[in-house]
Amino acid sequence: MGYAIGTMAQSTRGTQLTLTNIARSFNGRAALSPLSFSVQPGEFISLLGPSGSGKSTLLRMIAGLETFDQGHLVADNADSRSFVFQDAALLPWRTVLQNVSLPLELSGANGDPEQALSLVGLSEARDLFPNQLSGGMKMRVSVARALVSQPSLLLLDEPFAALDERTRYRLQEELRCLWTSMGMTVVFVTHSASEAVFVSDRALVLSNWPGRVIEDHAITLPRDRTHKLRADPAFIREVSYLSGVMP
Amino acid sequence: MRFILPLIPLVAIIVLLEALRSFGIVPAYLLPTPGEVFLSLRDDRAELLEGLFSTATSSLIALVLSGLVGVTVAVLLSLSAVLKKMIYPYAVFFQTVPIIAIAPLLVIWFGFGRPTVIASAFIVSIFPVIASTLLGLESTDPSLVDLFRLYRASAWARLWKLRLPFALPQIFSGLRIAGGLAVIGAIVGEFIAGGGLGSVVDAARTQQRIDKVFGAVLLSAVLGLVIVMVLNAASRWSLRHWHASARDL
Repeated sequence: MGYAIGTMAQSTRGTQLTLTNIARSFNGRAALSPLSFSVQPGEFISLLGPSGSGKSTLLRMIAGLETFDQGHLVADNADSRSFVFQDAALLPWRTVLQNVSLPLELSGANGDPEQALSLVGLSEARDLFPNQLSGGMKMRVSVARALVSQPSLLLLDEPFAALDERTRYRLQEELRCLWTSMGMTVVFVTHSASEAVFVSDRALVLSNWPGRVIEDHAITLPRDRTHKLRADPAFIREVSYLSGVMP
Repeated sequence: MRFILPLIPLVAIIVLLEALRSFGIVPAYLLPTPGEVFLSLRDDRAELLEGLFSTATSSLIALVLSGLVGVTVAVLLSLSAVLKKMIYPYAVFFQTVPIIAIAPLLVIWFGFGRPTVIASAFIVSIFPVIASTLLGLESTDPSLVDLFRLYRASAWARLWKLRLPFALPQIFSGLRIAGGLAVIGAIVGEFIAGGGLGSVVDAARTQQRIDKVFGAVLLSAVLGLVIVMVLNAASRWSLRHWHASARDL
């Protein structure tokens, strides 16, 4: 994959995240029991858990989209964060380029939408409308939109779950590749152990409702990852280990 | 075929109506033949066209007012749950009051002539705009709402760049319903307050000119149809890039 990595790559730096005793309940029922963890600048971690484990809620708290009942959440550079939703969440009346420019319009930040598009290999599609794109292309646009403001923290909520396997694998590789060159902090929510192992360097496994961290696992695989890794015994070992500890 | 198929029932009805009269089954004072209606459209065209023009003007003014006021009211109601709970039931109640019952009141308030006609058309056409727009504003994709929150978009940006464009298909569907209703409201208003096709129908009825009544009714139906078709075209054009409804209208 030939990515055009220019000035954008050097200008980002990672956010440090510290969560202390964060808890949340819905209608009197605990959804997240007090949990604490921290994420180092430039780290790529996965929040892995079954549906209903509160992993999306946790991600939305980090994004500031959800409140919590108790605890502390400290993120330096709190304004420089981006979120990729499970559905691509594009504005259907805007072209691809106009969609990618949206964060700059709304927040007044600086950035280069054309370059963000070239990062995901979609320069050619800049004038198309979302209904002319495949599911995978829509998700790439969504990733480009998240990158355009050069975030120091990138949050992704099961972004590839709705895609077919082939496209999902390709986007996992592309995301990993973008991260190795850009170096922002990434928090990636998924329910798939193999996805967590492929994209991240550390996986936090959450329990069933109410969610708490039951495993904090470092993934010891090479930094640069290609599709060949999926057949590697080390990869398979990591996946089966995480699958084993997942509730 | 698309244009031929709808013509078949039309031709059948014309033949049937001519037959009913020529075999003396229905008397002339009850039902004109299509030929007689056509002759009336030709001979009374000055009066009919003047009526049509007047009704069209009143309907369009009322429709534009309904669009502007209806969308504004819907935006205000969508901004506050309290306001919506306070006001919306009355909007629904207002909708159920028959226009023919309020029309005499409108004459007392606005006098004879166009203001009453416009008021009557406005009252019957505003509710669908409010209801549809509100539905559209409230069904904004939650992920998109989150996205705008994430980038700390102003309330103004949320409205202009997200919620109103997102509601556009519903706004158009409200306007399409309002377009047909505005013509009906205008003609009801004209029955009471005078002017337009409503007056033509009323006068022709008292003169036993049933052919002219039919001619005027036909023109009012065509007027409603043209308004709806223009709105369809506008809707298709504005939504051409993105909405499924733009492709199968």
